Amino acid sequence: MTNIFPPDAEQPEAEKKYWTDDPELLEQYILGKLSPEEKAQRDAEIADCEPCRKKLQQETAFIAGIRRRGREEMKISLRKKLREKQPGRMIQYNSIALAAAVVIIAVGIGMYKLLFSDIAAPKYFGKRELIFRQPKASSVKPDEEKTETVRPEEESSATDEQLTASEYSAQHSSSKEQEAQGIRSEENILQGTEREETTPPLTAAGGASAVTTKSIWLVGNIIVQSQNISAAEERSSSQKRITGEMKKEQETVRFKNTVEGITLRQGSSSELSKEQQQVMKNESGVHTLVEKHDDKIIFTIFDAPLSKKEFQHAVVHLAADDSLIIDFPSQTIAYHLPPEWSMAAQKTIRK
Amino acid sequence: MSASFFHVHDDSKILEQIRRGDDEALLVLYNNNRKMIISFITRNSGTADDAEDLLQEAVIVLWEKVRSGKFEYTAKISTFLFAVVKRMWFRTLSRRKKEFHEDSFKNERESGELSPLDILVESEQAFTIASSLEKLGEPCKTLLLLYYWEEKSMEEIAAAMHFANADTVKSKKYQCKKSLEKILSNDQHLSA
Repeated sequence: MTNIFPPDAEQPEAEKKYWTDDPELLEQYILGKLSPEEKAQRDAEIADCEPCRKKLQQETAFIAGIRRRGREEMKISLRKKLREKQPGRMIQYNSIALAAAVVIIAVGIGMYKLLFSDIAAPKYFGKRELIFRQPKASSVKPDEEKTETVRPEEESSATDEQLTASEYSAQHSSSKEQEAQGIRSEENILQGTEREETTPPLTAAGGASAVTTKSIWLVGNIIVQSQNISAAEERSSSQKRITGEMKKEQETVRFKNTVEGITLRQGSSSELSKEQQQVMKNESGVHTLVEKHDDKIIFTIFDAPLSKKEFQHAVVHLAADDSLIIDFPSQTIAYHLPPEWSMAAQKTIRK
Repeated sequence: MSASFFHVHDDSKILEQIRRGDDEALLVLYNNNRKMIISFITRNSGTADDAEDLLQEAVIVLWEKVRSGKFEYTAKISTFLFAVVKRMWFRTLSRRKKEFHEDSFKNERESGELSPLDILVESEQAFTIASSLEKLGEPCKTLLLLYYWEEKSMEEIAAAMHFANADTVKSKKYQCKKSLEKILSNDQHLSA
Protein backbone atom coordinates (compact mmCIF):
# COMPACT_ATOMS: atom_id res chain seq x y z
CA MET A 1 0.00 0.00 0.00
CA THR A 2 1.35 3.41 -0.85
CA ASN A 3 -1.10 5.74 0.78
CA ILE A 4 0.99 8.76 1.71
CA PHE A 5 -0.40 11.54 3.82
CA PRO A 6 0.84 15.08 4.27
CA PRO A 7 3.42 15.41 6.99
CA ASP A 8 2.67 16.98 10.35
CA ALA A 9 4.98 18.55 12.88
CA GLU A 10 5.32 15.34 14.82
CA GLN A 11 6.82 13.04 12.25
CA PRO A 12 9.30 13.62 9.42
CA GLU A 13 7.86 13.27 5.94
CA ALA A 14 10.25 10.50 5.03
CA GLU A 15 8.82 8.28 7.73
CA LYS A 16 5.24 8.60 6.50
CA LYS A 17 4.32 5.79 4.21
CA TYR A 18 0.88 4.70 5.32
CA TRP A 19 -2.28 6.43 6.43
CA THR A 20 -1.77 4.99 9.89
CA ASP A 21 1.31 7.20 10.15
CA ASP A 22 -1.03 10.16 10.38
CA PRO A 23 -1.76 10.26 14.15
CA GLU A 24 -4.90 12.37 13.88
CA LEU A 25 -6.43 10.20 11.20
CA LEU A 26 -5.54 7.09 13.13
CA GLU A 27 -7.19 8.45 16.29
CA GLN A 28 -10.30 9.44 14.39
CA TYR A 29 -10.49 5.94 12.95
CA ILE A 30 -10.13 4.28 16.36
CA LEU A 31 -12.57 6.63 18.07
CA GLY A 32 -15.14 6.01 15.35
CA LYS A 33 -15.16 9.57 14.09
CA LEU A 34 -14.71 8.85 10.38
CA SER A 35 -17.62 8.83 7.97
CA PRO A 36 -18.83 5.35 6.98
CA GLU A 37 -17.38 5.82 3.50
CA GLU A 38 -13.99 6.88 4.77
CA LYS A 39 -13.95 4.11 7.34
CA ALA A 40 -14.75 1.53 4.66
CA GLN A 41 -11.88 2.87 2.58
CA ARG A 42 -9.47 2.62 5.50
CA ASP A 43 -10.69 -0.87 6.33
CA ALA A 44 -9.95 -1.95 2.77
CA GLU A 45 -6.48 -0.45 2.96
CA ILE A 46 -5.73 -2.12 6.26
CA ALA A 47 -6.56 -5.49 4.80
CA ASP A 48 -3.53 -5.24 2.52
CA CYS A 49 -1.15 -3.58 4.94
CA GLU A 50 0.54 -5.49 7.73
CA PRO A 51 2.42 -2.46 9.18
CA CYS A 52 -0.87 -0.55 9.24
CA ARG A 53 -2.56 -3.29 11.23
CA LYS A 54 0.31 -3.39 13.69
CA LYS A 55 0.25 0.36 14.16
CA LEU A 56 -3.53 0.33 14.49
CA GLN A 57 -3.35 -2.39 17.12
CA GLN A 58 -0.74 -0.49 19.14
CA GLU A 59 -2.65 2.77 19.05
CA THR A 60 -5.97 1.07 19.84
CA ALA A 61 -4.43 -0.61 22.87
CA PHE A 62 -2.98 2.71 23.99
CA ILE A 63 -6.30 4.51 23.75
CA ALA A 64 -8.11 1.55 25.33
CA GLY A 65 -5.78 1.83 28.33
CA ILE A 66 -6.57 5.51 28.79
CA ARG A 67 -10.29 4.85 28.43
CA ARG A 68 -10.05 2.09 30.98
CA ARG A 69 -8.55 4.53 33.46
CA GLY A 70 -11.44 6.90 32.75
CA ARG A 71 -13.99 4.16 33.35
CA GLU A 72 -12.26 3.04 36.53
CA GLU A 73 -12.27 6.53 37.96
CA MET A 74 -15.91 7.01 37.10
CA LYS A 75 -16.78 3.65 38.59
CA ILE A 76 -15.04 4.56 41.84
CA SER A 77 -16.92 7.84 41.92
CA LEU A 78 -20.22 6.07 41.17
CA ARG A 79 -19.66 3.51 43.91
CA LYS A 80 -18.82 6.24 46.38
CA LYS A 81 -22.01 8.09 45.52
CA LEU A 82 -24.04 4.91 45.77
CA ARG A 83 -22.69 4.33 49.27
CA GLU A 84 -23.42 7.93 50.25
CA LYS A 85 -26.88 7.93 48.76
CA GLN A 86 -28.00 4.58 50.04
CA PRO A 87 -27.31 4.50 53.79
CA GLY A 88 -30.83 3.21 54.26
CA ARG A 89 -30.25 0.17 52.14
CA MET A 90 -29.28 -1.96 55.11
CA ILE A 91 -32.55 -1.05 56.80
CA GLN A 92 -34.27 -1.87 53.55
CA TYR A 93 -32.46 -5.21 53.39
CA ASN A 94 -33.51 -6.00 56.96
CA SER A 95 -37.13 -5.34 56.04
CA ILE A 96 -36.77 -7.54 52.98
CA ALA A 97 -35.18 -10.28 55.06
CA LEU A 98 -38.06 -10.12 57.53
CA ALA A 99 -40.60 -10.25 54.71
CA ALA A 100 -38.71 -13.14 53.11
CA ALA A 101 -38.76 -15.07 56.39
CA VAL A 102 -42.53 -14.62 56.66
CA VAL A 103 -42.97 -15.77 53.05
CA ILE A 104 -40.73 -18.81 53.58
CA ILE A 105 -42.72 -19.86 56.63
CA ALA A 106 -45.99 -19.36 54.78
CA VAL A 107 -44.73 -21.31 51.76
CA GLY A 108 -43.44 -24.04 54.06
CA ILE A 109 -46.85 -24.41 55.66
CA GLY A 110 -48.47 -24.37 52.23
CA MET A 111 -46.09 -27.00 50.86
CA TYR A 112 -46.68 -29.18 53.89
CA LYS A 113 -50.42 -29.04 53.29
CA LEU A 114 -50.01 -29.72 49.58
CA LEU A 115 -47.63 -32.63 49.93
CA PHE A 116 -49.34 -34.33 52.79
CA SER A 117 -52.98 -33.79 51.96
CA ASP A 118 -55.15 -35.96 49.73
CA ILE A 119 -55.88 -33.13 47.34
CA ALA A 120 -54.17 -33.40 43.93
CA ALA A 121 -51.66 -30.61 44.16
CA PRO A 122 -48.99 -28.98 41.99
CA LYS A 123 -45.70 -30.77 42.59
CA TYR A 124 -43.18 -28.25 41.32
CA PHE A 125 -42.81 -24.93 39.68
CA GLY A 126 -42.41 -25.21 35.93
CA LYS A 127 -40.72 -23.14 33.28
CA ARG A 128 -41.31 -19.53 32.42
CA GLU A 129 -43.63 -19.14 29.52
CA LEU A 130 -45.07 -16.41 27.42
CA ILE A 131 -48.58 -15.25 27.61
CA PHE A 132 -50.39 -12.83 25.36
CA ARG A 133 -52.83 -10.53 27.01
CA GLN A 134 -55.86 -10.16 24.84
CA PRO A 135 -56.68 -6.71 23.52
CA LYS A 136 -59.47 -4.91 25.28
CA ALA A 137 -60.79 -3.47 22.03
CA SER A 138 -64.50 -3.79 21.36
CA SER A 139 -63.81 -6.09 18.43
CA VAL A 140 -62.71 -8.77 20.80
CA LYS A 141 -65.32 -11.21 21.93
CA PRO A 142 -66.15 -10.90 25.64
CA ASP A 143 -65.12 -14.47 26.35
CA GLU A 144 -61.67 -13.73 24.95
CA GLU A 145 -60.98 -10.74 27.13
CA LYS A 146 -59.44 -12.72 29.90
CA THR A 147 -55.78 -13.54 29.85
CA GLU A 148 -55.04 -16.34 27.47
CA THR A 149 -52.02 -18.47 28.06
CA VAL A 150 -50.02 -20.47 25.60
CA ARG A 151 -51.26 -23.57 27.31
CA PRO A 152 -54.89 -23.38 28.37
CA GLU A 153 -54.41 -25.58 31.44
CA GLU A 154 -52.07 -22.99 32.90
CA GLU A 155 -54.77 -20.37 33.17
CA SER A 156 -55.13 -21.06 36.86
CA SER A 157 -51.66 -19.72 37.52
CA ALA A 158 -52.35 -16.30 36.05
CA THR A 159 -51.87 -14.69 39.43
CA ASP A 160 -48.23 -15.65 39.36
CA GLU A 161 -47.69 -13.56 36.29
CA GLN A 162 -47.32 -10.30 38.14
CA LEU A 163 -44.59 -11.76 40.32
CA THR A 164 -42.28 -12.16 37.38
CA ALA A 165 -43.47 -9.14 35.52
CA SER A 166 -42.72 -6.99 38.51
CA GLU A 167 -39.03 -7.69 38.07
CA TYR A 168 -39.19 -5.29 35.21
CA SER A 169 -41.59 -2.79 36.69
CA ALA A 170 -39.03 -0.01 36.99
CA GLN A 171 -38.60 0.57 33.30
CA HIS A 172 -42.25 -0.13 32.59
CA SER A 173 -43.38 2.59 34.93
CA SER A 174 -40.83 4.91 33.36
CA SER A 175 -42.38 4.34 29.98
CA LYS A 176 -45.84 5.02 31.30
CA GLU A 177 -44.77 8.28 32.79
CA GLN A 178 -43.19 9.32 29.51
CA GLU A 179 -46.40 8.63 27.69
CA ALA A 180 -48.36 10.56 30.25
CA GLN A 181 -46.12 13.55 29.71
CA GLY A 182 -46.49 13.34 25.96
CA ILE A 183 -42.80 12.74 25.45
CA ARG A 184 -41.67 10.72 22.44
CA SER A 185 -42.48 7.15 23.20
CA GLU A 186 -41.55 3.83 21.65
CA GLU A 187 -44.74 3.90 19.61
CA ASN A 188 -42.80 6.09 17.18
CA ILE A 189 -40.45 3.28 16.40
CA LEU A 190 -42.36 0.18 17.21
CA GLN A 191 -45.88 -0.25 16.08
CA GLY A 192 -48.21 -3.10 15.94
CA THR A 193 -51.48 -3.84 14.22
CA GLU A 194 -53.43 -6.89 15.10
CA ARG A 195 -55.76 -9.19 13.35
CA GLU A 196 -57.40 -12.51 13.96
CA GLU A 197 -57.54 -15.02 11.19
CA THR A 198 -58.71 -18.53 10.78
CA THR A 199 -55.80 -19.41 8.54
CA PRO A 200 -52.21 -18.35 8.71
CA PRO A 201 -51.77 -15.18 6.69
CA LEU A 202 -48.60 -16.28 4.99
CA THR A 203 -47.65 -18.74 2.38
CA ALA A 204 -44.34 -18.57 4.18
CA ALA A 205 -45.95 -20.44 6.99
CA GLY A 206 -45.49 -23.50 4.88
CA GLY A 207 -48.28 -26.05 4.87
CA ALA A 208 -50.88 -23.73 6.29
CA SER A 209 -53.29 -25.57 8.46
CA ALA A 210 -56.75 -24.33 9.32
CA VAL A 211 -56.14 -23.39 12.92
CA THR A 212 -57.10 -20.22 14.68
CA THR A 213 -54.23 -17.83 14.61
CA LYS A 214 -53.91 -14.46 16.22
CA SER A 215 -51.36 -12.26 14.57
CA ILE A 216 -49.78 -8.90 15.00
CA TRP A 217 -47.37 -6.87 12.90
CA LEU A 218 -44.47 -5.39 14.78
CA VAL A 219 -41.73 -3.12 13.59
CA GLY A 220 -38.57 -3.97 15.47
CA ASN A 221 -35.58 -1.80 15.85
CA ILE A 222 -31.95 -2.78 15.52
CA ILE A 223 -30.51 -1.45 18.75
CA VAL A 224 -27.12 -3.08 18.55
CA GLN A 225 -25.09 -3.97 15.52
CA SER A 226 -21.76 -5.71 15.52
CA GLN A 227 -18.84 -3.64 14.31
CA ASN A 228 -16.90 -6.75 13.56
CA ILE A 229 -15.80 -6.82 9.94
CA SER A 230 -16.35 -10.55 9.55
CA ALA A 231 -19.85 -10.26 10.91
CA ALA A 232 -20.51 -7.39 8.55
CA GLU A 233 -19.32 -9.50 5.66
CA GLU A 234 -21.58 -12.29 6.78
CA ARG A 235 -24.50 -9.88 6.88
CA SER A 236 -23.66 -8.64 3.43
CA SER A 237 -23.55 -12.12 1.94
CA SER A 238 -26.74 -13.14 3.69
CA GLN A 239 -28.44 -10.04 2.30
CA LYS A 240 -27.51 -11.23 -1.16
CA ARG A 241 -28.95 -14.63 -0.43
CA ILE A 242 -32.22 -13.14 0.72
CA THR A 243 -32.67 -10.89 -2.27
CA GLY A 244 -31.48 -13.56 -4.67
CA GLU A 245 -33.10 -16.84 -3.90
CA MET A 246 -35.31 -16.58 -0.88
CA LYS A 247 -35.39 -19.72 1.14
CA LYS A 248 -37.69 -20.16 4.06
CA GLU A 249 -35.46 -20.82 6.96
CA GLN A 250 -36.98 -21.88 10.19
CA GLU A 251 -35.15 -22.54 13.37
CA THR A 252 -36.44 -23.09 16.82
CA VAL A 253 -34.72 -20.66 19.08
CA ARG A 254 -32.74 -21.67 22.08
CA PHE A 255 -33.39 -19.82 25.25
CA LYS A 256 -31.41 -18.96 28.30
CA ASN A 257 -33.74 -19.18 31.25
CA THR A 258 -36.15 -16.88 29.60
CA VAL A 259 -39.02 -18.07 27.49
CA GLU A 260 -40.01 -21.08 25.50
CA GLY A 261 -42.38 -21.75 22.70
CA ILE A 262 -41.15 -19.19 20.18
CA THR A 263 -40.10 -20.12 16.67
CA LEU A 264 -38.17 -17.72 14.51
CA ARG A 265 -38.10 -17.77 10.77
CA GLN A 266 -37.29 -15.59 7.83
CA GLY A 267 -39.84 -14.31 5.38
CA SER A 268 -39.70 -12.41 2.12
CA SER A 269 -41.88 -9.38 1.49
CA SER A 270 -42.52 -10.72 -2.02
CA GLU A 271 -44.86 -13.24 -0.42
CA LEU A 272 -47.00 -10.52 1.12
CA SER A 273 -49.89 -8.49 -0.23
CA LYS A 274 -49.08 -5.31 -2.13
CA GLU A 275 -50.75 -3.32 0.62
CA GLN A 276 -48.45 -4.80 3.25
CA GLN A 277 -45.42 -4.34 1.00
CA GLN A 278 -46.32 -0.67 0.72
CA VAL A 279 -46.56 -0.38 4.51
CA MET A 280 -43.10 -1.90 4.77
CA LYS A 281 -41.70 0.50 2.19
CA ASN A 282 -43.11 3.47 4.05
CA GLU A 283 -41.75 2.53 7.41
CA SER A 284 -38.19 1.59 8.16
CA GLY A 285 -37.42 -1.08 10.68
CA VAL A 286 -37.52 -4.82 10.98
CA HIS A 287 -41.04 -5.80 9.95
CA THR A 288 -42.07 -8.87 11.81
CA LEU A 289 -45.28 -10.85 11.88
CA VAL A 290 -46.02 -12.47 15.21
CA GLU A 291 -48.48 -15.33 15.09
CA LYS A 292 -49.86 -17.11 18.09
CA HIS A 293 -50.77 -20.69 17.50
CA ASP A 294 -52.15 -23.10 20.03
CA ASP A 295 -48.77 -24.41 21.10
CA LYS A 296 -46.26 -21.85 19.91
CA ILE A 297 -45.59 -18.31 18.83
CA ILE A 298 -43.97 -17.71 15.46
CA PHE A 299 -41.92 -14.64 14.68
CA THR A 300 -41.52 -14.21 10.92
CA ILE A 301 -38.87 -11.58 10.28
CA PHE A 302 -39.19 -10.10 6.81
CA ASP A 303 -36.28 -9.23 4.56
CA ALA A 304 -33.86 -9.40 7.45
CA PRO A 305 -30.20 -9.40 6.43
CA LEU A 306 -29.56 -12.47 8.51
CA SER A 307 -28.19 -15.85 7.56
CA LYS A 308 -29.54 -19.24 8.57
CA LYS A 309 -26.54 -19.59 10.86
CA GLU A 310 -27.50 -16.43 12.66
CA PHE A 311 -31.03 -17.74 13.16
CA GLN A 312 -29.56 -20.89 14.66
CA HIS A 313 -27.71 -18.79 17.21
CA ALA A 314 -30.56 -16.45 18.02
CA VAL A 315 -31.59 -16.00 21.61
CA VAL A 316 -34.81 -14.41 22.78
CA HIS A 317 -34.98 -12.44 25.99
CA LEU A 318 -37.77 -10.67 27.74
CA ALA A 319 -36.37 -7.25 28.54
CA ALA A 320 -39.56 -6.12 30.19
CA ASP A 321 -43.19 -7.13 30.23
CA ASP A 322 -43.71 -5.05 27.11
CA SER A 323 -40.29 -5.50 25.50
CA LEU A 324 -38.65 -8.39 23.79
CA ILE A 325 -35.13 -8.66 22.46
CA ILE A 326 -34.07 -11.08 19.77
CA ASP A 327 -30.35 -11.39 19.87
CA PHE A 328 -28.57 -12.48 16.71
CA PRO A 329 -24.78 -12.83 16.53
CA SER A 330 -24.46 -9.70 14.40
CA GLN A 331 -27.30 -7.61 15.74
CA THR A 332 -29.91 -7.23 18.41
CA ILE A 333 -33.47 -6.41 17.50
CA ALA A 334 -35.80 -4.91 20.09
CA TYR A 335 -39.56 -5.12 19.96
CA HIS A 336 -42.02 -3.28 22.10
CA LEU A 337 -45.51 -4.64 22.13
CA PRO A 338 -48.48 -2.30 22.21
CA PRO A 339 -50.04 -2.15 25.69
CA GLU A 340 -53.00 -4.30 24.79
CA TRP A 341 -50.69 -6.98 23.47
CA SER A 342 -48.16 -6.89 26.23
CA MET A 343 -46.28 -10.05 26.94
CA ALA A 344 -45.20 -11.33 30.28
CA ALA A 345 -43.18 -14.14 31.60
CA GLN A 346 -44.97 -16.19 34.13
CA LYS A 347 -44.15 -19.04 36.38
CA THR A 348 -46.52 -21.88 35.81
CA ILE A 349 -47.50 -24.72 38.03
CA ARG A 350 -47.53 -28.13 36.45
CA LYS A 351 -49.47 -31.04 37.79
CA MET B 1 -31.21 8.76 49.94
CA SER B 2 -33.57 11.62 49.21
CA ALA B 3 -37.13 11.02 48.18
CA SER B 4 -36.49 12.62 44.82
CA PHE B 5 -33.89 9.99 44.15
CA PHE B 6 -36.65 7.43 43.87
CA HIS B 7 -38.57 9.56 41.43
CA VAL B 8 -38.81 7.84 38.09
CA HIS B 9 -36.89 9.90 35.61
CA ASP B 10 -37.77 9.58 31.98
CA ASP B 11 -35.20 8.86 29.32
CA SER B 12 -35.09 12.32 27.82
CA LYS B 13 -34.36 13.88 31.19
CA ILE B 14 -31.65 11.33 31.88
CA LEU B 15 -30.00 11.94 28.52
CA GLU B 16 -30.10 15.69 29.07
CA GLN B 17 -28.53 15.25 32.50
CA ILE B 18 -25.71 13.16 31.02
CA ARG B 19 -25.10 15.68 28.25
CA ARG B 20 -24.77 18.37 30.93
CA GLY B 21 -22.22 16.20 32.73
CA ASP B 22 -24.50 15.61 35.73
CA ASP B 23 -23.46 12.18 36.96
CA GLU B 24 -26.50 12.03 39.26
CA ALA B 25 -28.13 10.52 36.16
CA LEU B 26 -25.97 7.44 36.60
CA LEU B 27 -27.37 6.86 40.07
CA VAL B 28 -30.90 7.11 38.77
CA LEU B 29 -30.14 4.70 35.94
CA TYR B 30 -28.43 2.32 38.33
CA ASN B 31 -31.35 2.27 40.75
CA ASN B 32 -34.02 2.06 38.06
CA ASN B 33 -32.38 -0.96 36.40
CA ARG B 34 -30.74 -2.76 39.30
CA LYS B 35 -33.60 -5.13 39.98
CA MET B 36 -33.98 -6.17 36.35
CA ILE B 37 -30.24 -6.76 35.88
CA ILE B 38 -29.84 -8.71 39.12
CA SER B 39 -32.77 -10.86 38.09
CA PHE B 40 -31.20 -11.58 34.70
CA ILE B 41 -27.66 -12.24 35.93
CA THR B 42 -28.68 -14.43 38.84
CA ARG B 43 -30.79 -16.52 36.47
CA ASN B 44 -27.71 -16.93 34.26
CA SER B 45 -25.06 -18.34 36.59
CA GLY B 46 -24.09 -15.02 38.14
CA THR B 47 -24.36 -13.36 41.51
CA ALA B 48 -25.92 -10.11 42.62
CA ASP B 49 -22.40 -8.69 42.93
CA ASP B 50 -21.67 -9.63 39.31
CA ALA B 51 -24.89 -7.90 38.31
CA GLU B 52 -24.13 -4.71 40.21
CA ASP B 53 -20.62 -4.57 38.77
CA LEU B 54 -21.88 -5.07 35.22
CA LEU B 55 -24.61 -2.50 35.62
CA GLN B 56 -22.08 0.04 36.80
CA GLU B 57 -19.99 -0.71 33.70
CA ALA B 58 -23.05 -0.46 31.48
CA VAL B 59 -24.18 2.92 32.76
CA ILE B 60 -20.64 4.20 32.21
CA VAL B 61 -20.68 2.84 28.65
CA LEU B 62 -23.93 4.75 28.14
CA TRP B 63 -22.35 7.84 29.66
CA GLU B 64 -19.43 7.57 27.22
CA LYS B 65 -21.70 7.12 24.23
CA VAL B 66 -23.98 10.02 25.13
CA ARG B 67 -21.12 12.37 25.96
CA SER B 68 -19.32 11.57 22.71
CA GLY B 69 -22.54 12.03 20.71
CA LYS B 70 -22.57 8.43 19.57
CA PHE B 71 -25.71 7.38 21.39
CA GLU B 72 -28.74 7.11 19.16
CA TYR B 73 -32.00 7.09 21.03
CA THR B 74 -33.77 4.31 19.21
CA ALA B 75 -34.86 2.24 22.17
CA LYS B 76 -35.48 2.76 25.84
CA ILE B 77 -32.32 3.36 27.86
CA SER B 78 -33.18 0.36 29.99
CA THR B 79 -33.29 -1.80 26.87
CA PHE B 80 -29.87 -0.51 25.85
CA LEU B 81 -28.44 -1.18 29.31
CA PHE B 82 -29.93 -4.66 29.32
CA ALA B 83 -28.33 -5.42 25.95
CA VAL B 84 -24.92 -4.12 27.08
CA VAL B 85 -25.02 -6.05 30.35
CA LYS B 86 -26.08 -9.22 28.60
CA ARG B 87 -23.25 -8.97 26.06
CA MET B 88 -20.69 -8.21 28.75
CA TRP B 89 -21.92 -11.08 30.89
CA PHE B 90 -21.80 -13.60 28.09
CA ARG B 91 -18.28 -12.43 27.31
CA THR B 92 -17.37 -12.89 30.96
CA LEU B 93 -18.85 -16.37 30.99
CA SER B 94 -17.01 -17.11 27.77
CA ARG B 95 -13.70 -15.97 29.30
CA ARG B 96 -14.29 -18.15 32.34
CA LYS B 97 -15.09 -21.07 30.09
CA LYS B 98 -11.95 -20.36 28.08
CA GLU B 99 -9.89 -21.69 30.94
CA PHE B 100 -11.30 -25.07 30.02
CA HIS B 101 -12.10 -24.66 26.34
CA GLU B 102 -9.86 -22.77 23.95
CA ASP B 103 -12.63 -22.40 21.39
CA SER B 104 -13.99 -19.09 22.45
CA PHE B 105 -13.35 -17.31 19.18
CA LYS B 106 -16.97 -17.49 18.15
CA ASN B 107 -18.10 -15.76 21.29
CA GLU B 108 -15.50 -13.06 20.84
CA ARG B 109 -16.95 -12.40 17.43
CA GLU B 110 -20.42 -12.21 18.87
CA SER B 111 -19.52 -9.34 21.11
CA GLY B 112 -22.23 -7.17 19.58
CA GLU B 113 -22.17 -3.51 20.41
CA LEU B 114 -18.69 -3.72 21.88
CA SER B 115 -16.27 -2.22 19.38
CA PRO B 116 -12.67 -3.46 19.10
CA LEU B 117 -11.78 -0.53 21.34
CA ASP B 118 -14.38 -1.56 23.95
CA ILE B 119 -13.07 -5.11 23.91
CA LEU B 120 -9.49 -3.97 24.41
CA VAL B 121 -10.54 -1.80 27.35
CA GLU B 122 -11.10 -5.02 29.25
CA SER B 123 -7.71 -6.46 28.32
CA GLU B 124 -4.65 -6.94 30.49
CA GLN B 125 -2.71 -4.59 28.24
CA ALA B 126 -5.24 -1.83 28.90
CA PHE B 127 -4.90 -2.44 32.62
CA THR B 128 -1.14 -1.89 32.37
CA ILE B 129 -1.58 1.34 30.41
CA ALA B 130 -4.30 2.54 32.81
CA SER B 131 -1.94 1.97 35.75
CA SER B 132 0.88 3.82 34.00
CA LEU B 133 -1.40 6.78 33.37
CA GLU B 134 -1.57 7.29 37.11
CA LYS B 135 2.23 7.74 37.18
CA LEU B 136 2.04 10.39 34.50
CA GLY B 137 0.68 13.05 36.85
CA GLU B 138 -1.07 16.29 36.02
CA PRO B 139 -1.91 17.98 33.73
CA CYS B 140 -1.09 15.13 31.35
CA LYS B 141 -3.44 12.63 32.92
CA THR B 142 -6.45 14.93 32.74
CA LEU B 143 -5.55 16.07 29.24
CA LEU B 144 -5.31 12.53 27.89
CA LEU B 145 -8.52 11.50 29.66
CA LEU B 146 -10.39 14.49 28.27
CA TYR B 147 -9.17 13.79 24.76
CA TYR B 148 -9.28 10.00 24.53
CA TRP B 149 -12.02 9.10 26.99
CA GLU B 150 -14.38 12.05 27.05
CA GLU B 151 -13.51 12.72 23.40
CA LYS B 152 -13.39 16.47 23.90
CA SER B 153 -12.07 18.65 21.10
CA MET B 154 -8.78 20.51 21.40
CA GLU B 155 -10.74 23.74 21.75
CA GLU B 156 -12.88 22.37 24.57
CA ILE B 157 -9.80 21.10 26.38
CA ALA B 158 -8.07 24.45 25.97
CA ALA B 159 -11.05 26.16 27.58
CA ALA B 160 -11.44 23.58 30.36
CA MET B 161 -7.75 23.41 31.26
CA HIS B 162 -6.91 27.06 30.63
CA PHE B 163 -4.47 26.48 27.78
CA ALA B 164 -3.79 29.35 25.42
CA ASN B 165 -5.38 27.69 22.40
CA ALA B 166 -6.03 24.40 20.59
CA ASP B 167 -2.51 24.28 19.13
CA THR B 168 -1.01 24.44 22.61
CA VAL B 169 -3.21 21.53 23.65
CA LYS B 170 -2.16 19.55 20.57
CA SER B 171 1.49 20.09 21.35
CA LYS B 172 1.01 19.25 25.03
CA LYS B 173 -0.95 16.14 24.16
CA TYR B 174 1.93 14.93 21.99
CA GLN B 175 4.40 15.47 24.85
CA CYS B 176 2.10 13.70 27.32
CA LYS B 177 1.68 10.76 25.02
CA LYS B 178 5.42 10.41 24.59
CA SER B 179 5.91 10.61 28.37
CA LEU B 180 3.36 7.85 28.86
CA GLU B 181 5.07 5.71 26.24
CA LYS B 182 8.34 6.21 28.11
CA ILE B 183 6.78 5.17 31.42
CA LEU B 184 5.32 2.08 29.77
CA SER B 185 8.66 1.24 28.22
CA ASN B 186 10.43 1.57 31.58
CA ASP B 187 7.78 -0.55 33.30
CA GLN B 188 8.20 -3.24 30.68
CA HIS B 189 11.99 -3.24 31.18
CA LEU B 190 11.53 -3.56 34.92
CA SER B 191 9.09 -6.42 34.64
CA ALA B 192 11.17 -8.24 32.00
